[in-house]
Amino acid sequence: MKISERVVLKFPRELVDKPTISNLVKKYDIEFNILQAQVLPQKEGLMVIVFTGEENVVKHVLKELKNQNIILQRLKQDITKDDKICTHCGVCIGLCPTNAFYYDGSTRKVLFDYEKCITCMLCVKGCMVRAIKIKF
Amino acid sequence: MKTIEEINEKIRKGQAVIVTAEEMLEVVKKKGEVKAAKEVDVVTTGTFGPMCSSSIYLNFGHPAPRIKIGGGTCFLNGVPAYAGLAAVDVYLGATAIPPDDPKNLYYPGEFSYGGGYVIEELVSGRSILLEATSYGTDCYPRKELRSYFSLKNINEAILFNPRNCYQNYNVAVNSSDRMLYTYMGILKPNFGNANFCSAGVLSPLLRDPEYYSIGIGTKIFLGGGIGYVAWHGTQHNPSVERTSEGVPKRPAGTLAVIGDLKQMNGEFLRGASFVGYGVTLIVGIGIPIPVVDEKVAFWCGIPAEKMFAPVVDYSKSYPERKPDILGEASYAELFSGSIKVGERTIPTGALSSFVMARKIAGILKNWISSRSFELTNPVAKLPGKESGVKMKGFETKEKIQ
Repeated sequence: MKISERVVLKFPRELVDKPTISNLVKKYDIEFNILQAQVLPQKEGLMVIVFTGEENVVKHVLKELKNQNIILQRLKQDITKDDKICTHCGVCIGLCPTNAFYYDGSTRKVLFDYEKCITCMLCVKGCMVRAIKIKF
Repeated sequence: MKTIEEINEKIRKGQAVIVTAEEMLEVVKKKGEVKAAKEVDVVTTGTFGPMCSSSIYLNFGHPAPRIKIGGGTCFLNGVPAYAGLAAVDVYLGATAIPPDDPKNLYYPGEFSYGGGYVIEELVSGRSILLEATSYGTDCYPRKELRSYFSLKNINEAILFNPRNCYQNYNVAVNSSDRMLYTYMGILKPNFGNANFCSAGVLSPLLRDPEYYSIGIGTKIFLGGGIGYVAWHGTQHNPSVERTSEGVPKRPAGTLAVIGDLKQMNGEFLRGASFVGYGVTLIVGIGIPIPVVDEKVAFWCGIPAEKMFAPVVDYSKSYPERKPDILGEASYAELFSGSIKVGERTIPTGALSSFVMARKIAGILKNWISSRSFELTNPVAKLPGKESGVKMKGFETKEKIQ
């Protein structure tokens, strides 16, 4: 079965100049889509990436990344909209490029669909009451 | 025809029929304005949006020995408050920011703290740090004061907002090729989004488009407590273009409101920040409209399809103060999730929370039906479309005239 796994990768300093993703793609039959990356020489690197492929292949890839001392976090756990803070205005809805935010039909509350999020972070900046947070 | 006294008598007897503005739309649609006016006594409205012209004034009480903060300096949690009043009276505006805030030095700035947040924290019962300096006089010898205080241990805390409750507002878009950071939120390049700020059919002044019911002295829901309309708001502009029903098609009337901060609560007064723009206060306001006759019912029955807001380009027209607009969008369109401007379909985002507006209209309805809130006759009218009152621009002059 084909699956998509969205992860945040934190590269330790010594790995930043290695072609880690490229090597993985050569070794395994896997698709990848880099949503965001901040990789600077001599600094910790950070990448938001989606791997798509057969379930066991994706699992292998993630395991291999871990073995290389790369810190791995599943992305969807890192994006939060705090409903105690949110006023449900909906300014995030117009900003979101993938419609991950939407109004609930009857209550008009602002809901968030993690699966659609590509972590462009526009909503984080655009939220007036800072209800949306992203933690890597 | 009913008088406000008659409606209040019904409220006292528990016989008044009170509906929210959303519910009233349905009543008028089903029964028509004649029947609706007979059956319904009060319509409650609500709005909850960022309103920069909001502020508080405080009286701390006198410390021993005394200090004359007036003419000195005053900071509340590091945010500058105006100290040009008497010894222990100060004034704090929602947009004030600490002097060491980097502002837009690293564009777009975060503006993570300021007056709006101090107001929210104060009303929520939290301790605020007061730091004041003065020059010392024979009667006020103290030169420095550093102390924590909270709402309950100072004499007065009054919310006074010179301009709230805008009757209609611009829909902001961006025609340029770069991101804009505005008081209408982040505007994506090439018409990427359209932001509007109104509670639409729940908005107080859109339900009373000609200021027939709402006037100076009107008792209102303000920030979770009771407040009053103090005056027309600054930039009150009643003589703009209107629909045949009388609803303004441009930003028009505004209200100045006042109330005791001690009765209010932090759920309805929220500090807020616009990246690249600054700090503000989100204010919750609800205004009851007495259904004295069919005219009131008629206005309350105007649907979102017949209310329009101007679409304004915030990359050029707005900053340059050009009058041109790109078109008009109905509130039905704005609330549907996208608007059409020329050939483009633009996704909409709201700055004003309809969920909270609905909640406020509901709370006000409960207050009235539980007999803890009665309606008031305004003591004076707000300037209407025939008044000739118009918002002016500021014409800059380099020399003394």
